[in-house]
Amino acid sequence: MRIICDRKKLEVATHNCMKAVSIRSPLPILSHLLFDVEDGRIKISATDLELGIESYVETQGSVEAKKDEKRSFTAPAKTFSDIIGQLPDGEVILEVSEGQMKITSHRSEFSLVTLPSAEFPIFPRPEGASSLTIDAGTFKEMVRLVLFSCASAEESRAVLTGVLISVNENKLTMVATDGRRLAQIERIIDQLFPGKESRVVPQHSLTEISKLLRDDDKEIEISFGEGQIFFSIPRVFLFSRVLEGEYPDYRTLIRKDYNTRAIIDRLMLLGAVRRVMITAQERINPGLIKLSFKGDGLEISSNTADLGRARETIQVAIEGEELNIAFNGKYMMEVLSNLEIEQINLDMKDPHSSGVISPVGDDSYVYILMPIRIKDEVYA
Amino acid sequence: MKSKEDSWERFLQVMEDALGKPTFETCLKFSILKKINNGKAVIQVSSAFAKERLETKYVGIMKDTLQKIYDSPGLDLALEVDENLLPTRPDLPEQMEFYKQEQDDIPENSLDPRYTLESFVVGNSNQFATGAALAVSRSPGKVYNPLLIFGGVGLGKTHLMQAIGNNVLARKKKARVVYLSTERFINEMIDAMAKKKIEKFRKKYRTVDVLLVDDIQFLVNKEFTQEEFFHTFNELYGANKQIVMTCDRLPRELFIDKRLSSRFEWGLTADIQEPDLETREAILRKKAEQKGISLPNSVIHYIAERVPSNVRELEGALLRVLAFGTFRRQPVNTELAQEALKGIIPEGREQIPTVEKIIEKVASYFDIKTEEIMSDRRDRRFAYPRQIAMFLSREITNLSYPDLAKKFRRDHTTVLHAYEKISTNLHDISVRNSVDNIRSALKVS
Repeated sequence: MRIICDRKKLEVATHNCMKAVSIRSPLPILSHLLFDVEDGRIKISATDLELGIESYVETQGSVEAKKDEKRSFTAPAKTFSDIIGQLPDGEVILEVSEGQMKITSHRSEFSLVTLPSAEFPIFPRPEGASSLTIDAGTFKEMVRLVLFSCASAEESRAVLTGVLISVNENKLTMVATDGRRLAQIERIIDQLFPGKESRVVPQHSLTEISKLLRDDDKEIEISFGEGQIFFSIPRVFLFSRVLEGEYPDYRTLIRKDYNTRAIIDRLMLLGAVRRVMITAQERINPGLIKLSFKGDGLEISSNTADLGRARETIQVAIEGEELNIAFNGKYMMEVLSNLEIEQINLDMKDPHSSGVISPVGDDSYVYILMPIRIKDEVYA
Repeated sequence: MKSKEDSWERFLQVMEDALGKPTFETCLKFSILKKINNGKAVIQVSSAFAKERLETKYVGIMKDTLQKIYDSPGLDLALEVDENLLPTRPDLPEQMEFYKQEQDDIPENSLDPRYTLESFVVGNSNQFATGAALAVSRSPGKVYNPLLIFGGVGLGKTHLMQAIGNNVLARKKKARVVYLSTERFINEMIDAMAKKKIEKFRKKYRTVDVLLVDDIQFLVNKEFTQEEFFHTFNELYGANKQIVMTCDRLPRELFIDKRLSSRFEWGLTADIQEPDLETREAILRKKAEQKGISLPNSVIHYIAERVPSNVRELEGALLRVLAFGTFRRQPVNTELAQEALKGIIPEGREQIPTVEKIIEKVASYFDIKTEEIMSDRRDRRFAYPRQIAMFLSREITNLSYPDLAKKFRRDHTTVLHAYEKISTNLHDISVRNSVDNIRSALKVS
């Protein structure tokens, strides 16, 4: 079998799949890419069994093949990708026969050992699973605004290391929490989803699908399978295992009542927190910053016993009572640097209850963060 | 006229010099002069332990000094306890969380309820450690943290440590107290690593209020476990949680990593010495009482005299005597005790261990080989045990320096030097402790 592709397009498709290749797997086949030759295109697939990615590249001219010749083959992913990456632009010719793949381009020629394509795991398909379609940019924004709140990989409650994606009629929701802060975003979709579905998706899978999305991708289709979730854009198809276990009931944490509401310029607050964070390096609770709302000012301060202290006052509009509270500045920076709006609300009840950050006039996004409990006199 | 405060400051200064810094800091540092009138001074101290220690040992010098400074001859002195005097560390900031820790992650305490402070016999040899244990169990995490109890085998370290745990639980039912042997700590850690659940393991031990770790000498030569233990230690310490450890010698003798040993000795180090005759008798009386048996004093005296050091052996001897009595259907008296203990405990003069035996015990104590003691290597790791072996040989056997020199295959001046060096350093607690421990391993006193 002889196939001709454009090097650049082949490189893009290969690169898309590389994130799902498992280099150090005990199963050699998982370190290979699978090539399926279809009409006018090749489908390249890779999987580490947790995550699988398929990507397409069009072929040039017609595929020369013997009658009854198998139209799928594999190649060692890392080596193949290195070769394609190094070749000069132009045509690349792939020739496959008898467990060998020959790659020719200009004056270069490579020969790679392949594995039987039948060994490659069968990709799960979203057949029969209910699905929805959402604007690709909106999806990417949703992922960006919750992803940083996931618990780290060491977390013992595995379910918190992922993002909860749920759909109810025409509303898609994503939630992430590590137990200290929680981010929730809701978006309306242009269709009526039949019933309800929810899956907890590993952080890593969402990072990859977000990276694969390009500005010219219009829509993404999400399908809720049994133990799996599928994402598809015309160029790429991705499946991901979902995390087992019950996601904690987070709805009760989202409070609407507050005694103090501060309306703050996002960039001003972000800059102040960043600066004050420099001296927030206490061994216990690194990143502890104190917020003191008084009159129309917010004083942000930090203090590290054997290092030094910092203080910055910014102008804010305060509704309700004056208040002192302490937060982990890192949690504030993460949300402030990801939100792309001018002003935010910070709603608080008391120094021992959560604070809620949301864009002014928009309750489709909420970020709830638990304070750090400190003694009152420490504010003095 | 000097102000009252000035005089009190002066008094404290004098006492600091007289008592030595460690004792001063534990007993007097936070005390205040409540009143001084009608020929009587009332001083409030921070713990019952401090009060007892001052009353037994230092009340004389305190009176003298007060009389001088306040210029009032014949002044009487009374001590009162006010635990509020102790400075408590400020409440540390705590990151709050949405979801509470899962309940099944809390380890069981595995305390033996029979080990209580009440059932612990206090004598001169363990008074200091008992006082410290009492103080710690009253306000865990606040007074001496960590508390390190060290002493030889069978002297009651474990009893005292478990008693702290039981006492904390008696005062606060919901306190999370965990007792575990170092061996179990190591095993659980290895298991957690194999199952890739190290994070869960960490959480488990880093959420307790009082952590009691027995026999930390087993951490020696286990670098990786030391590291993990060190982190757990730091985290608990940082969160004001009480840590109590026992060890059969001072950590600084045990760990090459200074970081570790200095951490272990950060708080209070309390030693348990071998009980004196009086204490041994008291222990026997208590044990007999627990079994509901009354023993004639002569029998108690006989057993206490025959079993010189180890409390565990003391208990064993008592049980043997009692069993013998039941078996023979005879009242327990000195003759019966003599017969029961015949062959078990050397009668009269003890057998003198040979130099070879001494070298062997010294080597095993310091965890080196006997050949290494006999070798020419001069690293401190070997030289110090070698000197201890020479010292003990000179003390225990009746051999002359030249004889000993032959046994050690060295010049007799080397042996002489070693003997003198160890003798002059015996006041050092770590040297004395090593010597005592090896002596008891050799069953000589």
